[in-house]
Amino acid sequence: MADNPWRVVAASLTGGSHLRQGTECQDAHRHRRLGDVLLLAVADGAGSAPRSAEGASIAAGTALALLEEKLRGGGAPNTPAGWEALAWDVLHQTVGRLNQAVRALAGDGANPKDFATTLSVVVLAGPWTVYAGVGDGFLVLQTSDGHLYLPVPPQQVGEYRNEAVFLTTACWEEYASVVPIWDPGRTGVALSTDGLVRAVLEHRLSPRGPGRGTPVRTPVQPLSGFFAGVFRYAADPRFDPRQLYAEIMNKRFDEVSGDDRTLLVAVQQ
Amino acid sequence: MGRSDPGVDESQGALGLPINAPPQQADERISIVLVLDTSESMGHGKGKLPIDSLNEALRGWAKELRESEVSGFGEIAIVTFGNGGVQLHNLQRTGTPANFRNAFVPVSTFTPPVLRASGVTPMVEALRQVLKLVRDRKDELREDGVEIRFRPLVWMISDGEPTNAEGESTTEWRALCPELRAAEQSRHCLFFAIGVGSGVNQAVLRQLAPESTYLVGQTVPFIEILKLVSTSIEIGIEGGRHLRNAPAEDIYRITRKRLEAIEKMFSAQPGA
Repeated sequence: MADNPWRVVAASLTGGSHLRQGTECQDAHRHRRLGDVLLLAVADGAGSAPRSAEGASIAAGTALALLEEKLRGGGAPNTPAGWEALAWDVLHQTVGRLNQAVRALAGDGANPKDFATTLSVVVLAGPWTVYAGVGDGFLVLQTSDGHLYLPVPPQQVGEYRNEAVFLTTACWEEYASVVPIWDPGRTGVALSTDGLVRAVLEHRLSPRGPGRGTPVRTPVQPLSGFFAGVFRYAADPRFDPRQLYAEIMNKRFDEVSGDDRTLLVAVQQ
Repeated sequence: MGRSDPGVDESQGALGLPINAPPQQADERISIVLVLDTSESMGHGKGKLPIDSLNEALRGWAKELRESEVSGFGEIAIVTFGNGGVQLHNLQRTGTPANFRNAFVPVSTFTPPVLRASGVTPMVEALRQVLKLVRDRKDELREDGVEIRFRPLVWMISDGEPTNAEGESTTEWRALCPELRAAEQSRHCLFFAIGVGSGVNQAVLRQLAPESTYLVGQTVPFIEILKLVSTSIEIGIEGGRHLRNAPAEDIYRITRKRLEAIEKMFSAQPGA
């Protein structure tokens, strides 16, 4: 669409430890254009769930279809509360449809946990960047002056860093996050699954709290060199989007994390 | 220009964007605790004494472990019950009494102590201390900024039954069961129990570790038993990476499934 100001590049690939196990890539990413609005989704299927790649794909596709339906039906909200209501609605309906799809695919004896997946969706509409997600995806924004920030850090829920909440988790609502951000200066957006957390976010060692179970390494900000480069390349029309795949396929990343990795980048032109 | 660019390093990405450096030292850790019975009965037997076989097996196993994948980020501690009461071993050999700091050594430098057998079987006291050891160690690792990505694995090997200080059998272990279940449910650690030979009190072990007790015959070499530990380490690592939030029972079930072949071999052994 000519009037859509966004250029999108994306890559998902299987991490080294999944390769060693012969597991397929369980990450999914999608994007959709709607006039000058851009919709993004990434989903990370649980490594332990046999059909999580399907779960991730269904969740990402369904969430974007629902967002489109609602934005076409009622237009884009213009208040944080309006966006929050819309985003929660989409999350609820996505979970409902995912459960329906599970029953349709696997019959009455279906176990939704077999399809366990995280989900992160973003709406880019005018000055609004609206995040809705369940699980440990994260969002990085760049502003026109080159400033980078991490409005949605990856969620850490339990004692062990690798624990996550999925759309199929019974109490998912308690851990879901909906974050409407108003920033007319935002020019770049990167949405990712947890496989890149260690490699491309800077962490701070949190001081030991009074209670036990204090999280240790907290991701606090985007690694500036990496994201500045990604946004620069993504904005350059001469850039071959396959290079992004080649970049994150690199074995340096495997040394930091063997997980599946997904990066979905949009830059305003 | 038709020649290879000397600036291009295979390990660099296509765009050469910086990422956080791969960890120089493992900043994730899997902690393994062996809880070994060194009571009097381990010093009795026809031919080679069980304690000597255990020492020999530990040496062989340590070598295997040092050369395995876990060498880079595993750490191990040994707690014994029997000779000298409950003993936490200072595997770092710093010459000071053992504590939760020096009890653990990286798998890459693990050389087992030579164990001796004597005395009664204070199994319950040993397990209590192990639960505390694991808790203290996790706190310390957290303070050091190490990610505790994997649940600690606690493996107990015994040929008898828990006793009090006088060597009489005791029911103190009953109070320990809820503590162990709570540790599993809160994902504090995983607990496995191996009973060796005919003197083992199966009922007690099955109460202590309902989903993860393995009984093996007297003639099964200790090295085979230690290989079970290795298998659980592999599963523990896989679990840490891919079985997010898996309840302890699931891990035990997977371990058991993997061990079926080994168990068949065990059951074909006489002497149990």
